[in-house]
Order: sequence, then structure tokens, then C-alpha cells
Amino acid sequence: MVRLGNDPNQESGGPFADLLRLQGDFHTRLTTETLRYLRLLQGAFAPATPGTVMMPDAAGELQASGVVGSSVQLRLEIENRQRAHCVATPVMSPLVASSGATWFPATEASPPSALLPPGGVATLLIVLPLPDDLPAGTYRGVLLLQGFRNGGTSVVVTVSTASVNGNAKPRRPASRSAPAKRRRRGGRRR
Amino acid sequence: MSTPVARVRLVDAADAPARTTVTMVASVAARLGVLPLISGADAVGALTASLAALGRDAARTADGARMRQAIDAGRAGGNGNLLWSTLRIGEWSSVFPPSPILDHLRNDLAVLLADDLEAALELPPVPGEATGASHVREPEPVTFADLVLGLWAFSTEVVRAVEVLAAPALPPAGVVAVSGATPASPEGSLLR
Repeated sequence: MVRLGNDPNQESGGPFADLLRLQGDFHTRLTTETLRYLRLLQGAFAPATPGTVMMPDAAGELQASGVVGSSVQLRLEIENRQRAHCVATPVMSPLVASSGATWFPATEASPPSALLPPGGVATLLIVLPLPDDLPAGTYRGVLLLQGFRNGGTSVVVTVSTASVNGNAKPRRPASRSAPAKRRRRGGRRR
Repeated sequence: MSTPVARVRLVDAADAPARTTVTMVASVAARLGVLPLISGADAVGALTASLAALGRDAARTADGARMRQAIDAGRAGGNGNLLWSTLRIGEWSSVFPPSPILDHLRNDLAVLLADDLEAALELPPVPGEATGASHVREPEPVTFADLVLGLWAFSTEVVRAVEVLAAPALPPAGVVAVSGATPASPEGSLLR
């Protein structure tokens, strides 16, 4: 006779209880994997969706440079080679510098979205304001069209800081020792 | 300083039917045809997984990453995660393969603008192609923030698309209509 109690503190009923637990785990796992398989099968039989791929030109890299506090402009020409209308919405990925700084640009696209008829061409102007506290350097990212499969245009933005006499001069990124230096000089944070 | 220009082309995906009015109508019909065959829970679960997949894609963009960070940092994110784990919503919705809902949206809008829709509807129904096992996206863990970000990205796209559709015939805001005076008819390639 095997006794199965409800008290969790009660000692297990020996090898039979272990066997039952293993059996229960097996059935749970079997059910989960079967359901997962059925979901995948369901997905395989789901209707295929006509889609769009963004194909950049071979030399499709966008390069721009600017001084902090100003902004840079990028222009994207989109040609719809499909036989149906298409809506395109440009989005920027975060831009990363070799120094490790990551810039999340506040993009302003004009127009924000373009509706392209079959064979139509639209030009989008994307403005990237360069924040005042952006460390100088070369930032790399990708200009994408929201929701399109694959594709993207590489973007390289070279950022410099303006010196007093107006010449562009690279600014070193802020170091972590700056507050320590301030403390040594006796400066206080407000 | 000259503005740098890049050119891109939008072409049909090689592994899917070409975007024509006939295939897009077939896609709508096939999606509607599947609905009676699945349960409401399956439909909601598939939609949740699809929106979450869109949210994961959106989080890779600059705006999406900022939005994702804000959702995670706020009280809504904490409470959402609590509900998510307690009600086991994530566990339930993470088994559904996501579908390309932005492609669905774009195709449905294109059908609305097609000039050969009547001809396409008169043709015998085209059987929709199946996605195929090799193109099914593997289910991924669905989080609360993924779903919220996906809803944001999807609704933003809907708003922009509808505005673009309405733009050719949209009268300017603040127009005063005078009785008896007929406003000039708007013109545009999208109007009949």
C-alpha cells in the first residue's frame, strides 16, 4: 500500500512516490512539447503574407558631419518597385562611437511616413539634432524602414566640438574622474 | 554643406508571394478563413505574440529603446510584470509563433488603394499559400514591455498610415463652410 499525504512536510513515500513524481513530470513535459509542436505546425499552415524587402544601393552609406549644438541632415530616396502601394516610415537605430558612447538620436523625418504608388519615388529628409553634451567622435548606426524585412542603410555621423576661434576641434569624452577632480579642487555640487 | 543621399528600393520578398492585388486579397481572405477554425484564445495569443515580436524589433531603434527604458523604469512596468507573472500571461502567450502584423497592415492599406480591386475580386478565389515550416518564426518569450512597445509601434504606424491615406483629400483645419457655397473638389491620384 502506498500512502500519499497532503502534508508537504511529510516524508515522501519512498520509491513509489518518486516514480509518481517522475511520471507526472514526464507527462507535463510531454504535454508542453506537444503543444509547442502543434503551435509550430499551426504557424506552418498559416497563410503566407506578401512582404517587402528594402534593398539599399551598393554605395548606400550615408555620411554626415556636424558640430555639437547643430544638426545634420540625411536624405533617403525610396523607390517602390512593387505592383502595390507601400507605406514607408524611416527609423534610426542607436548610434555607437568607437569610444563606447551610445547616442539615441531624436530624429525628425519629413514627411514622417511616405506613401509610394507602384513605381513611385519619394524623398525623405531626416534631421538629427546633435546634443550639446554629445562627446566628439564617429558614430555608426543604421537607418531602417519600420517593419520591413531585412535591409537598412549604414549611417556614419562625425561629431566635433567648436573651439573659441570657430575651428572644429575634437572634444575628449567626459571621464569618470571629473567629479573626483572637482572634489579635490574643493568645488561643490549644487 | 550638401546633404548626403542614399537610395533604396522596395522589392518583393523572394520567399513570399509577390505583392499584387490578387495575392493581397487572397491573404486577407485566408486570414479571415482561418478564424472560424481556431479558438478565441488562440487568436488573442497569436496577436499578443505578434505584437510582442514587433515590440522586440522596435526596441532596437533609438525611439523604441528610449520608450522601452521608460516602460521598464516606471510603475506601470513593475505592475505590468507582476500581473504578467501572476496570471502567467507570458507563459501562455510565449508558445505562439508570431506573424508579420505590419506586413498585414501595409497590405490591407494597399488593397484599399488598388485600382484593380474590382477585377481582382471577380477572379476565382486564389488559394492562399501556406507559410511553410522553414519560414515559421520560432516562438520567443513574451514580456509585458515587449507587448506594450509593440502596441505603441503598431498604433503609431496605423495613425501615420491613415493620415497618409487621408492627406490628398484632407481639408485644412479651421475651414469655415458657408451655406450655398460648394467647396472645390480635391484632386489627387488616389481619388476617383
